[in-house]
Amino acid sequence: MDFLEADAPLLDGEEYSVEFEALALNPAQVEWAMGYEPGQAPEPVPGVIAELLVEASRHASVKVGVRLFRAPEVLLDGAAMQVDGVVLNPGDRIAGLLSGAREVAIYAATAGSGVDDWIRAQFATGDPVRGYVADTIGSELVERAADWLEERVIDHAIGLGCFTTSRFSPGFCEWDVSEQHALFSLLPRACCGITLTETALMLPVKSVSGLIGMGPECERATNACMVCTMKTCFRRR
Amino acid sequence: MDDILQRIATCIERGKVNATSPYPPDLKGQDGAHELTKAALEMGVSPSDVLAQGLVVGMNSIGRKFSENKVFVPDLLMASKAMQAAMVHLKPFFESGEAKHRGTFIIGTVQGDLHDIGKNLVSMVMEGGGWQVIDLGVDVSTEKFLDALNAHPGSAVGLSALLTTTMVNMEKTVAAVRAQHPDTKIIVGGAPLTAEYAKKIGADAYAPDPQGALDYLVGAVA
Ligand code: B1M
Repeated sequence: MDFLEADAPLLDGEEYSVEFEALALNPAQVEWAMGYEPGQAPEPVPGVIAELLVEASRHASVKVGVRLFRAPEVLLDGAAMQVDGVVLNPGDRIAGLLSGAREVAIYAATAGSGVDDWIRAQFATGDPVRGYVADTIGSELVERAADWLEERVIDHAIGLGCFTTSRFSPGFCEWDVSEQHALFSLLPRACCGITLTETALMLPVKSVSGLIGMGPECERATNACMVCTMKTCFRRR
Repeated sequence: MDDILQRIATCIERGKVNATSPYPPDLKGQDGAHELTKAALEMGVSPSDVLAQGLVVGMNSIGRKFSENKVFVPDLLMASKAMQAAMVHLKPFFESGEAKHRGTFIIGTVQGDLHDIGKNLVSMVMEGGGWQVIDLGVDVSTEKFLDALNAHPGSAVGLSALLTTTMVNMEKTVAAVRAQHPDTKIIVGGAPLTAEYAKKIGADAYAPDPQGALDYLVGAVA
């Protein structure tokens, strides 16, 4: 599969390669993802972050794949929705927030298997702090890749005279992780090189998936934690 | 004696590994967990006291702060590095039987799941709490848990999972352990777990974090 340049318009069924620099991942974001207020991580963490951010750029191969589905392919029915004949059950809460969507973007993104290998190599140095910083950078990279896609979806929605919802992913709120299999059936085969295990784990590990709704009445949640049911999360703000 | 044990505890909590480690900056140039543990043993402090009043105190303190979201994963990892540096000196005493672990704890991430950071943190805190830890790794089958229990009868068991799709594999493992070793204490943990789920599958406890697992076991075997 050929990957399109990142500045190409959003096209249904396409997969995009995103440059590391375009994701503008910075040390403050990495500290935040670990639970610290930016600038509050103790020594030697800031130095390790700075060093590993440079290294990460050599191992990342960030890819984003998207499919766009228009009404009437999207049917909302209580807690379930049907997209191109595939039934998804995101639960009442997410379905409520998707109500009125005229179009949905279904996506998957990955930082690439090179990042998984690099993280393992950092743990193998025997310094678990390096390993954990690398792990957090990998997680943030793919989250930023999803942000990158979301911005393109917003532009696309504006072109349709629509607003967007937040990003919703299987495994969050009441949406069961096992629904990953249904979601992936809507994406191109082996989208961005991601495979799903029987237990719905994506490989490479640093991958995410989800959907974004578009419609004239759609709204984004101001704080993603408001939609998430995980009350014990160390990132809950 | 109390002073050196207190200093060991501080070095563990603050992640001060040895005299050459430059972190934390305010302890730069001072002895770390490595030197102080060696010195304490040379002074004649018993290995059990070094463990109980030095290492365990330091790890408990950082573990509690972690539970309260006052410190985060890197702080816990740095503390465990200092603890490992101290443990090197205690190991021969555990091997000779002069120092005793509180018990043995077998831990693994359940079948179908590859996550290990959370499990590793639990292992570190348990070890710092005076337990011998047998870490079976990730994607661990029920059979492997049973083999480990057969090799180390009387151990407690910890199961970790990061996704609801793998968490369900805990039920089978818990049932098999109960069938063969009914008195085994079983703790489950991981992001999608809840106390209700732990109860439903017949585990003894759900621990939201590593300190929770340690506190439960200390209470259960006391
Ligand atoms: C035996 O006794 C014990 C006792 C305590 C025990 C224990 C055993 N085992 C663990 N503990 C406990 O002690 C440790 C220290 O406190 C803790 O261990 P943990 O392993 O939980 O914690 C680690 C030390 C640090 N924690 C982490 O590294 C995970 C942090 C959170 C924010 C998280 C991250 C970073 C990521 N994720 Co995702 N992620 C979340 C997490 C939410 C959260 N706050 O935990 C979780 C795990 N993710 C979730 C989901 C759904 C997903 N993620 C995904 C992706 C990602 C990122 C790539 C962005 C990133 C990296 C993930 C990775 N596997 O490397 C996807 C799956 C990825 C895949 N490969 O398949 C995806 C499926 C979303 C999607 N559709 O794209 C949720 C799972 C819920 C569920 N229903 O199963 C989730 C709980 C978030 C949520 N708010 O709901 C405790 O749980």
